[in-house]
Amino acid sequence: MPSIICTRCGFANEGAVRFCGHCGASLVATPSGPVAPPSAEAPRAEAGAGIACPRCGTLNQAGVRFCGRCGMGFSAASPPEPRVAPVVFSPAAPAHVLAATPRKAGRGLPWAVVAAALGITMALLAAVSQAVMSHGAATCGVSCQPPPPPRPQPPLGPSGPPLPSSHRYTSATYGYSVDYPEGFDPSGSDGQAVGWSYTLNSDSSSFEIKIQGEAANGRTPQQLVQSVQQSFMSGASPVFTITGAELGSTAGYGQVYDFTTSPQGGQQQHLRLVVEAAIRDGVAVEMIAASLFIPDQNEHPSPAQMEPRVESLADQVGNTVVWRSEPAL
Amino acid sequence: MNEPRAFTAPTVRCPNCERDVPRGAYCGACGAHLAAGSGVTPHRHQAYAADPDQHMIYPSVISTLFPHIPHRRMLPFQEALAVITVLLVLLGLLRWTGPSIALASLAVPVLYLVYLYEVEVYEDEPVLVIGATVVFGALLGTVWAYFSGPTLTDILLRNTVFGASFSRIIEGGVLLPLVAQVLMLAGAMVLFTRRRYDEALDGFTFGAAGALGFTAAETLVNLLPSLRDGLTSSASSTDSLLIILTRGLCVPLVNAGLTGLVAGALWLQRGPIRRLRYHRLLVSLGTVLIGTIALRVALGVAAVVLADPLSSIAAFGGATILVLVWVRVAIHHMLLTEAVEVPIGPDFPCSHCHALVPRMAFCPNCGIATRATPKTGAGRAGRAVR
Repeated sequence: MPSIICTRCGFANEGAVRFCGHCGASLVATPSGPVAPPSAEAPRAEAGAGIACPRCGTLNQAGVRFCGRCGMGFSAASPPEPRVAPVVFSPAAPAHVLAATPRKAGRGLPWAVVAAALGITMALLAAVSQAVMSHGAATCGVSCQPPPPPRPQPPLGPSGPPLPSSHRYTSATYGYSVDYPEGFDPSGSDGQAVGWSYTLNSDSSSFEIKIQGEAANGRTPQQLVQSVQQSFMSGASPVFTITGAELGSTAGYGQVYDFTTSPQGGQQQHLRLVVEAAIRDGVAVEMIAASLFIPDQNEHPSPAQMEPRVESLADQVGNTVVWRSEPAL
Repeated sequence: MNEPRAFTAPTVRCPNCERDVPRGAYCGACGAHLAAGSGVTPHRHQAYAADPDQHMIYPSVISTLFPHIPHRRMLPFQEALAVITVLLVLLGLLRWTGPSIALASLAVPVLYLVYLYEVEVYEDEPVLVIGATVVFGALLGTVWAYFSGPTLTDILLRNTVFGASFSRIIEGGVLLPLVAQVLMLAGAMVLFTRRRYDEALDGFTFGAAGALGFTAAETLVNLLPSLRDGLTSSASSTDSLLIILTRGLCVPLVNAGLTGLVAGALWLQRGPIRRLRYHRLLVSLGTVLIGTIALRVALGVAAVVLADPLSSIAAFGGATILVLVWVRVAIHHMLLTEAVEVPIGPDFPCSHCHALVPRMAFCPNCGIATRATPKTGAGRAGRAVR
């Protein structure tokens, strides 16, 4: 019977064994094939001859510490779980692998088709965006510095007789009042504030205007404007300061902000926010107006690039603010 | 070339599932690691069940959301994802409205379609499966976007001037996102009744495909009004970049991951499962539903309250990482707990390690779950049976 000398410890192993009986090292140099089934070369355990492996039943030569067939250690504390060197499975022939797991690349993986389709879609949408872009002046973002807003704007809605007193909101807490045009009843009001919230039917873009009062507490109109912007639209970036901003006949501070939002599940919106504030006798009144960003169009100039009707209404309402301490208009 | 031989390798009793299995590094029946010296590790965290070369927690989008792809065929998908990311960054910085809308809405969903084609998850019913998931999802997404897009815009505009009110937060941050999540699942539920697709990974893939169809349509419809800006967006470069990265990468990955998780957990209910420590915590339907609802509400409220692009990408970027890790851990445990019975079959070349191994639920050599291999070629005949 041939013996195999372990290259690690030099122990002479008898018979066709796969593991060194002394140190447990694998004696199979390179995995050349699956483990052979039990055969006559691996004698089964017989009473009284050598050491029978408790797991695989192979009869090992006397005195060894590891099973030559499965590599299991013969120490007293051998655990029942398979503390064995696992069988090394032979690699499959390349042709066999190819036949069993065909690459669809061989059938023309549609990468080129997919990339072309995506490219065409991108070009198509670029063309559409070019086509639907409004004629005239090119659009611009926050880098544009529009000219100071000219005042007054043309009045909104049908012109009519002077506003009757029924179209007036008076703040119970701060005593200021504002007038609003026919057909634009406030959508909500309380002791401090009044608001208009509308969806314009023509293009279903909505707009919001709010006038609120608060105690100035020693702050300047500029500080009030910044505080309002922080609390309502903290991500907005300033575009320009409104020169000569005033509420009613009281000089104050005004700022136009730019804001882009693209909430998941909602439309991407480019908004403009106007905040103006003025203080008289310690009472601050603030006007906040928001609408969609409207690119410059030759026929509808809007200094703040807002929906022109919104800007017009905001101007009109803002011009009628009267504090309790000043005579009514 | 040798024909596959009948299984003749010696067997060992797996201490985990107590079955006689081929003596490999892994138990072919339950996937437990049987390595010498270290005892038995049923959880085998070091070897992700859908790609044993990677740890269960490993930063790979492809092996997470595309679990059927063999490790050696991932490269084109990884390259495609990298190209998509680079293009999204470039188009975002250049503010090219049209191309960036097309890429943000379609790129990831189309990549998933290529994946479905490559691994044939749909077996021999491509029209039924893709129709029920991607196409049906896209139809629902279109209808939904026309309804929810203007509603959410209105809520946001009102919040900017009047402050965030409780009713508006409930409507825009809770109701709309949860209804959208239900609609994303609808496609997978159509296929739930078909017995032939009985693997948890089938459910996961159908859920993800439906969600991506829905997301593509929703993003396209919601961004199309921006085309009126013209060739270049009116938003700043930074805003444009953040928006397109959120919409083009984070949103599809989150939607696909969450919907796939819910569908996978639903599919896991269909058959017996093998008990594993923590599995209830990780892959039970209750846990997955609670986690999904919580994340949806958190993201929805964040979208309504923090409307600027920087907050948006922070919320969705964080959610993307969270969802991808969760999906990986869940897929690993779904594959290990799903009690599949595969009688030991003739040797075939494992699609992962390419060794000739007896056909079982797991490759005894590398430990990959056979259910996470393509349904093409040899994989088709070796599908698990419950």
